[in-house]
Amino acid sequence: MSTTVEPVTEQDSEINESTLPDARVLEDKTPDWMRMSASSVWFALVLGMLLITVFASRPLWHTDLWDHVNYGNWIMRAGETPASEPLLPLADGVRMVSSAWLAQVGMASLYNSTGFAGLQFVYGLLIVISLGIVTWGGVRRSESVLFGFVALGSFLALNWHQMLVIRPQLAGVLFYSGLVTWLLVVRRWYTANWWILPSIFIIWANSHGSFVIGLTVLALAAVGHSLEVLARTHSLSNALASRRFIRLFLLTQLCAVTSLLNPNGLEAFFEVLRVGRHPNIASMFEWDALTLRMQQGQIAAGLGLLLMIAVRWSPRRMRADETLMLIFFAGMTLWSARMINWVAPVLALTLSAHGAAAWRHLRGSVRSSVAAPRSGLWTLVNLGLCWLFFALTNLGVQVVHGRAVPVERAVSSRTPVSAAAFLTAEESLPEGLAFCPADWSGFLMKFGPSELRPMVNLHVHVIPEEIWSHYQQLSDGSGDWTALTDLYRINLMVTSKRRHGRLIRQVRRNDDWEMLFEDVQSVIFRRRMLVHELPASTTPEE
Amino acid sequence: MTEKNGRLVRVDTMSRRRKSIPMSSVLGVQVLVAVAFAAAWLVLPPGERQRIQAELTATRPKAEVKITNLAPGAASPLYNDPEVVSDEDLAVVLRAILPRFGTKKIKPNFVEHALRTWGSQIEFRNTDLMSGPLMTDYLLDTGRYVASWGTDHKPLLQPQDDEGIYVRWESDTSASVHHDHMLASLAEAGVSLDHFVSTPARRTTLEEVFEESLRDFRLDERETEWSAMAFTSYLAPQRTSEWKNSQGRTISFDMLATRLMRSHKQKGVCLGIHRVYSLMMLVRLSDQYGGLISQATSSEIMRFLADVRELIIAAQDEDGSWPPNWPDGVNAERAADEELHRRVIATGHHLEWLAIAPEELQPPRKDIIRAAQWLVQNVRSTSQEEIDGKYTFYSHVGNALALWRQTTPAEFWESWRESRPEAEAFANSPTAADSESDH
Repeated sequence: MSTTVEPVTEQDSEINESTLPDARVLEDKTPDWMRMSASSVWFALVLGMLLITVFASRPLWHTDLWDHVNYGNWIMRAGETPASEPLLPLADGVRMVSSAWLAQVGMASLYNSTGFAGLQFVYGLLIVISLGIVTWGGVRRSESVLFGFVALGSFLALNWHQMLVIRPQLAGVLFYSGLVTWLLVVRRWYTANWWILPSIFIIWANSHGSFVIGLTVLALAAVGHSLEVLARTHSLSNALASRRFIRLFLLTQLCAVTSLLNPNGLEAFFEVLRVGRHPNIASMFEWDALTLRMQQGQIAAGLGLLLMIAVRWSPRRMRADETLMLIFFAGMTLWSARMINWVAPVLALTLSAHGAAAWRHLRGSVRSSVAAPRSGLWTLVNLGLCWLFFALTNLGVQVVHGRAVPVERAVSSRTPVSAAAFLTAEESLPEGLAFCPADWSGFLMKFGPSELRPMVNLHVHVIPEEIWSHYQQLSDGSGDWTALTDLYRINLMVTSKRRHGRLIRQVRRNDDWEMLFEDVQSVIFRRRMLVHELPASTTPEE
Repeated sequence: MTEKNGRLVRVDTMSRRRKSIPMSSVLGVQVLVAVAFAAAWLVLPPGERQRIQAELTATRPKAEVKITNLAPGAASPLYNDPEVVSDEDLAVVLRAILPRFGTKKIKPNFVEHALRTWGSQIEFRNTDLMSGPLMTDYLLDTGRYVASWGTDHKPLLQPQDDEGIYVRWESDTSASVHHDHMLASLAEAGVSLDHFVSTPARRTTLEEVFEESLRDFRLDERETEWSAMAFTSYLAPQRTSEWKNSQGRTISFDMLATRLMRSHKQKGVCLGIHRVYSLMMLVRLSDQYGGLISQATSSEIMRFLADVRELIIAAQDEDGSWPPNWPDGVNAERAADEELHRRVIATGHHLEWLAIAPEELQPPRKDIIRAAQWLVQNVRSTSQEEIDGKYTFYSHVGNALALWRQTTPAEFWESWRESRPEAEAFANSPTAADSESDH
C-alpha cells in the first residue's frame, strides 16, 4: 500500500488562511459555568495562602479532637452508635445521643488512613471552603472584589476563635455558610433545591447538632420574606401566599423530615437543647455569653458598629430576612459565645453588600454594569493553584514525598505528648481511675496505654454532675483532694503545670504519693499504696 | 399579551401557572411531615418519649421500671452458733435495745433502726415500747409524725408536685439522716410496698415512695448504701436488674456494686461497713432470685469481701473488738483519742454482715466468738442511759448477735419473754429527745 502527497501550492495556502480561525486566539471551549474571572485568582491566592500558612499547617488543637476520634473509633469497632457513654467508667449508663457520629467516624477514619496530616488538611479545607463560599457570596452581592474581601475578612475575624478548634462543628459551619449564602445571595429557585437541600440535611443531622440552626435559618428566611410581602402589600394573605414563602416553608419542613434520618431520630432535635442546658456546660468558658471582655466580643462589637455605619449610608434596603437572622443569632450570642458561628456569615454578607453600597453612595460612583470577563484560562489557573497549594500542605508533602509530619509539629504545644509516651512506656499502670485534665483525656486515651481510665473527658454533657463537680474541685487542688482521690479510687494523677499548680504543690507534699514523671508541661504522680492494696495482712515483723 | 419596553409581548401564562405550587403538593408535604414525625415519635423507646414529654412540660420523668413485686426479699442468716452468743447474753443485749422512745420528738433515725431490728410485726407487752406496726405507722403516717413533732417541723414525707413521695433526709433530728435509709429499714422490716402512706397532701402506698427513690437516685451521690439495699430488697424478687432514673441514666445492680466498691474501704457510712453489708446482701439475693448481677460482678464482690475478711482478721484487737480504722489491717493502731462507741460500731456492723456471709468469707470462728463476747461485755458494762443515747449503734449489735443465732430479735424475744413476764419492765422510760447519737 502506498500514498502520494501532492505538493501544496501558494493558491491553496491562501484559501486555507482565509477560512481557518486566527491561530493566535485560542477558542475557549470551557463551558460557561466553569469559566472564572481574573479576580477569582486573587481570591484563590488568598484562600490558598490561608490554607497553607494558617489552617492546614496549624498544629491540631488538643481539646475536643481526640475525644471525637476515640468515639469515632468506638463506633467503627461496634458498628453502631453508643446508647450510653462507652469510654468513661464514671459515665457508665449515661444516655448518649451521638449527634456527630458521622463526623466522628470521618475524623477517626481520616486519622487512621492519613494520620495527623489528613486531619490538618481537612480541617483547613472545611474552613477555607466556608470562607470561599461566603467570599463568593460577598462578591456577588456587593458586585465588588474589594467588598468580597471585606466579607472574607469579617467572617474570618468574627469566627476566628471558633475556627481554632478542630471539631465536628466545622462541618456545620460549612453547611450553614452554604445555606445562608444561598438564602441571602442566590435566591434563585432551582427545581433541584427540593432534593439537594433535604439531602444535605441528612448529612448535616448526622454530622453535628447545628442542623437545627440550619432549619432555623431556613424558617427565618421564610418568615422574613413573608414580612417583606406583608410590608409591601399590607395583605397577610398575599404574604402567606407568596411563592418564595411557601417554597421556603415547605423546604424547611422537608429538611426537618430528612433530618430525622439519623440513628437517634427525633431525639437528635431535643439533644441540641439538652446539651446547651446541661449544668456542666456552665463551667465551660467557651459557652459563656459573649461579652466585651472577650476578644471575640470586641471584634463582634467593632464589626457590628461598622455594619450600622454601612447601613446608615447605604441606599440599599435592609431586607427582612437578613435583619431577622442578624437579630436572632446576635441575640443568641447573649446566651453563648459559640453562637457567633451563626452570626458571622450573615454579618459578613450583609456588611459587604451594604458596605459596597454605602461606599459607592458616598463616592458618588455607580457600579459597573459590565460583568467581568470570564474565561477558562482563569479556571485553569485556579485549578493549578489548588494543586499547588495542596502540594504545599502537610498532606500534600506526605502524598507527594511520602514524608509524614512529625507529631511534635502536628499537635498543639499543649498536647501532652511526652506524658503519653511516658505512660505508654510504663510496664503497668496502677489499677483504678486516673485523674487527667479533661482536655488531655482524649489524647492520653488515644496515644497512652489502653488500660488508662481517665475520670472525665471534654464531653461534659455526658458526665454526671457530681463527677464533674468533684473533678473541678480536684483540679483546683481543694483542701479535700485526698478524700476525693480516695472516693474515686484514683491511684494515678496526670497533672498540668499550667493549670494544676496548687494541686501539684499539695501532692508533692503528701507522702502517700510519689512523682513518676515531670517535664515542662506535666507532672505524673502515683499513689504509693494503692487504694485497694492490702496493707499487709501479715504481722509487721514479717 | 402585556406591554414591555413599549412593545406587546406574549406572556406564557401556562409557564407561570406551572411555577406556582399546587395546593395538593403543599398538603402532601404536610401529610409527609405529620407522618414522619409521628413515626419518629412512635419508634422512640418509651423512656425517651416520657423524657421528652417531661422536658416539654417541665416535669421530671418517672423511673423507667415496672414494679410487680410488693414484698421485699431478705438474706437469711446462715449460722446458729451458741458459742458466739448464748441465749442469756442475747437476751441481755436485746433488752438493752428495746424501743423506748417516749412519745415526743421521736427521732425518725432511731425508729428506723428499731424497725429494721425488731421488724414490723412485733408487739410488746410494755405499752411504753414502740411496737412494730406503730413504728411503721410513725414513719409512713404524717399524722403520727406530727403528733410527735408538732407542726413546727417539716413533715417527713413530702409529696412532690410531679408525683412521687420524697422522704426528707438531712442532718436534723426530725429527719431521716441518710438517703433512702427509711426505705431500706422498711424493706429489712419486711414492709410491703402496698402499705398505706399518708402524706400532708394525699394518701397513697409505699410503692410511690419507692418509685420516687428509683427516680431521684444518682449513682454518684455521697451515700448509696441504703439505696442499694432498698433496691435490692424490692427488685430482686421480680428479677429487675436495671432501670432508668429521672435523668435517663441506666442504673444496674452491676453499676451499683461497682459504685459501692469504688472508694477506699474506709469511706462510707459507719466506718465503711454498711457498703460491705449492702454488697453481701446483693450477692445473696442475686444468688437466691437470680439475674441481679453478672457473674463477673459477683466474683469481683467476692474478691472485695475476701479483702475485707483479710483486713479484719489482721486488724482485730486482742480484746476481740474491731477498731474503727479496720481498713488499715495490721497497721490499725488504737488512737489515743479513740471513742469506745466507734469500736461498738465497727464490731457490731462486721458481725452483722458476717452473719449472712458464706463460709468462704468467714474469719476463723474463734475471732467471731471473741468479737461477739466483747460486744456482750460492752453492753453489760455500759449504762442503759448511754445505750439509749447511742441506740443506733447498739441496735446493730442486737441484730448481729440474733443473726448469729439464725433468728431475728423479734422471734427470739417473743420466745424468750414467754416465761419472763418482767422482761420488758423498766424503772423509767427515757424519751428519744434525751438521746444524742444520730449516725
